Amino acid sequence: MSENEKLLEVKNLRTSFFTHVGEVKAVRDVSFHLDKGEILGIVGESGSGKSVTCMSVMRLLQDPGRIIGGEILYEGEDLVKKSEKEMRRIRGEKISMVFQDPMTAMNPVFTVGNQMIEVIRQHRNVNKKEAHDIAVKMLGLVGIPSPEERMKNYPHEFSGGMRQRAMIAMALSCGPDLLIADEPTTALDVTIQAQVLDLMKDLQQKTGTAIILITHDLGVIAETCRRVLVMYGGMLLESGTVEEIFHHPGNPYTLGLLRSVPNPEKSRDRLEPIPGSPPDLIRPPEGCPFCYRCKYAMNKCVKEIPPLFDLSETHQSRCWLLHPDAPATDAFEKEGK
Amino acid sequence: MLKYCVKRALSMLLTLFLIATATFFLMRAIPGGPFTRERTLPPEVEKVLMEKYNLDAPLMVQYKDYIVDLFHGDLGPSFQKVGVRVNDMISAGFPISAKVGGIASLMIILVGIPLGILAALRKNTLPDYVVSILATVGITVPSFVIGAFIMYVFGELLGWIPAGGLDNWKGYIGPVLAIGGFSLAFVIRLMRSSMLEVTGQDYIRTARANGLPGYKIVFKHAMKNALIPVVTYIGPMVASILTGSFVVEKIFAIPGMGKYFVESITNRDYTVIMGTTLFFAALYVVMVFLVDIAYALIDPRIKLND
Repeated sequence: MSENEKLLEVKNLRTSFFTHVGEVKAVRDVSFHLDKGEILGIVGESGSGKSVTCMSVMRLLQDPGRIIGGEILYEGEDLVKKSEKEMRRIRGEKISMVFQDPMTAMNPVFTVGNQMIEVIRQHRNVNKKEAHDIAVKMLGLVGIPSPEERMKNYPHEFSGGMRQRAMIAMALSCGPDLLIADEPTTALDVTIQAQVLDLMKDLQQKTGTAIILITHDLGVIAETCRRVLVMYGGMLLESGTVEEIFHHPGNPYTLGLLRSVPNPEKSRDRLEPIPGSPPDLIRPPEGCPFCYRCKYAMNKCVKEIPPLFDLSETHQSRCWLLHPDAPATDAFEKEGK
Repeated sequence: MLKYCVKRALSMLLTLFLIATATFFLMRAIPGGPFTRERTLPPEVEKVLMEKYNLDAPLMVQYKDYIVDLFHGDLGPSFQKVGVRVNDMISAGFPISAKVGGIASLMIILVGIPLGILAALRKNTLPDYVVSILATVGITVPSFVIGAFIMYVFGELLGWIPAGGLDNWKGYIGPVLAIGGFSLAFVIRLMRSSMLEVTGQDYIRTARANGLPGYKIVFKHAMKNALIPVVTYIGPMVASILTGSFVVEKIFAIPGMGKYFVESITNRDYTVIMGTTLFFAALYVVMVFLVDIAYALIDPRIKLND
């Protein structure tokens, strides 16, 4: 596998929900790419558009959600133009997904084995026995003890962590090239969180499956990912490698996120929350989505959406402070108050 | 499983015993009696009748005698129909009511569930509106209106169905629709809302994310979960439909057992009141038991041994 081959390239994606009260512009002009075998993190608050972006990639948006523009190139083919039938062959086989709440993500009235075998047989031309063996192997691979017996269990007979492992096993059972994990550890307690993350990292190395990890937990990102996207108000505000984002953030919003995470070395300092709440996506601000909560906001920020400025080859940020004509600022000095 | 069934059987018997007791004393609390007429009988005649049917004994003795007979499977003689035993009335009337009711129940299940699913899957489109309007009509229009309407339009005006009786298959159309109309509409609405709730669940999203085809998602993953509330309703519904309906049997001239439920009370025909009530109650508790078994078969989280 060559290093920088693009597996997925999202270009100018726009997704909206056409509700009674108006068009909710959940994803506004988001572009990013994912290399083969890479782990990409997407971070943002609730309602920042990170989940909707991924549901758009899977083409799993429920009414009244619709992709209204842009391209989603998967191995060069535009998923936006695929028929539902073609998408069905991609889902589960090429791209699969793990969701937030493992307690409700499995059907309670069928055994874990039944559900896994069903997915395997849907995509692979194998008989029941072979599918069963693949499922047992996958459950073993994700660290479920005595997988043969566990196949006969119903989801409620699994603990939360085990269910999430089983979900991962199911998602990987057809050997997808891309796994989208939408807050896979949010519903789990901390020790189990670490185990599941380790498992995902481990499987990624073994199978070479690329992973998009959606989370609002910066700690999870730092531990697992190579590159990070920071989303806010349906837009991409910053993207870069983990080192760039954590050590040289180029956006006041990213800085705000970093400052609102507790740091054990400076436990006496108060945490600094970001004041205010995310913008209304029915009538998003004309300018930068973060402008009304940003303490560095200028007149221009309110009027015009900033473009993505290149900070390095891998590091982009959407902020007017980065414009050559912008006034000098201490905004990006991480320790500065 | 066997232990559970034995336990349930005992509790069902206890339930029936309590119903028998309550019905017995409540019915005796109603003023009047089986031989109360507008023209009073001569006292001697009434005395002989009371003696014949053991009605002159103290109430507790009558109760004890009735329960003893009941345990022998004897529901006693009718007070109104001389020489006819309640057992015979039920065994003559029930098969007829049950045939109409059975067909109605099958129709409700085979038509109601698919239509409910259709309405849910085509939510807010023409099929949904049509089904929902029909279902609302079915719920709001009482059975005697449906019955009379069918009889007038299809019997009288068009002559497609006979005016009454069950002589050929056409005779069943009217009574089946009249007796099953409400429940059919109810099942459609129940299935629709249950299906809509289930299709919003996370596991349906998982199934879609795994690339399963639509028919598998609907008929395997969604339907099994959505059936639970419908099964709850269908169990007791079958018990009440199988035992017939006074109104429907009157309209379509069906010699079923539905009429006894009403007539026995106006006549104070004590043994028939007891017989029909207990028969219905027995059928009802059996259906509830079957519903519980069905739950356990549908949903593995429900355990019977508890």
